[in-house]
Amino acid sequence: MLYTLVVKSSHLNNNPDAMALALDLIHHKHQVTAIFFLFDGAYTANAFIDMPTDEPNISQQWSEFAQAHDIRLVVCSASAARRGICATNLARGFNLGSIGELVESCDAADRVVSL
Amino acid sequence: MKKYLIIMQQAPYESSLALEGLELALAIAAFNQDVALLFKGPGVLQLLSNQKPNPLEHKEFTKAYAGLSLFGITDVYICQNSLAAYHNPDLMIQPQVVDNLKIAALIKDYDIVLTV
Repeated sequence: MLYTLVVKSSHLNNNPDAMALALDLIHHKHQVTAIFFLFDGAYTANAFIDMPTDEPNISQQWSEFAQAHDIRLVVCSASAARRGICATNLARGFNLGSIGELVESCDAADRVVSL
Repeated sequence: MKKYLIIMQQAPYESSLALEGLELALAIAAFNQDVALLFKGPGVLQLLSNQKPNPLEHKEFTKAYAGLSLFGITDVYICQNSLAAYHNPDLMIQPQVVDNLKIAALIKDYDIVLTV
C-alpha cells in the first residue's frame, strides 16, 4: 500500500513515533510516498538543532532516514516561515514544499496517517 | 479527488495551531478538494461570536469562518457533546450539530482525516 505521513509535532515531542511507523511500514513492504512536516513539525527541519550528546537528534535521524530509504521529506513552507526555517538553515534531506504537494501526495496514497 | 475532513480541536488563541489549521483547510480547498470541518473539544471556541482578541497579541483570524462558503467549504460540523460542555455558547455560524455516532460515520466516510 502507498502511505503518506503527516508529522505535526516538533522534534522534541513525539515525532520519533512517526519515524518508527515509517520504518515499520517499509519493513512490511509498504511504500511511503512522502513525509510532510506541518505546524510544529517544521521545527524538525532546522539544521542548527544541536542536541546534547546523550540525547537523540531526531532531525539528524530524519536526514539519515530520508537518504537510506530515498523518501522525500517535505516541510510546509508556511509552517516553516513562521518558525524561522528557510532555505539557508534547512537540514539535509528536507525540502520546502506547498500544500499543493501534500494534496498531490494524498491523492496518490492509499492511506494518509497524521501524527 | 479525495474528501478531506479536518477536525479542529484547538482553542483559538492558545497557540498558532487553530489559525494554521484554518489556513490548511483553505489551502486544501483552494486545490479544488472537497473539504469539511468538524469542530470538537476546545475547537468549538473558535466559533464563538463577538471575539475581541488584543490585536497586539493575536490576529482575529476566526472572522474568516463567516465566509467559508466563499472558499468552497460548505460542510461544517460541530460536536454536540463539546457544545454542551461549553454550555451551548453563541456561535458566529450555525454548523450541523453531530453526535458521536455521526462523528464516527463522518470519519469513516471521508478519505482523509486530519486532526489539528
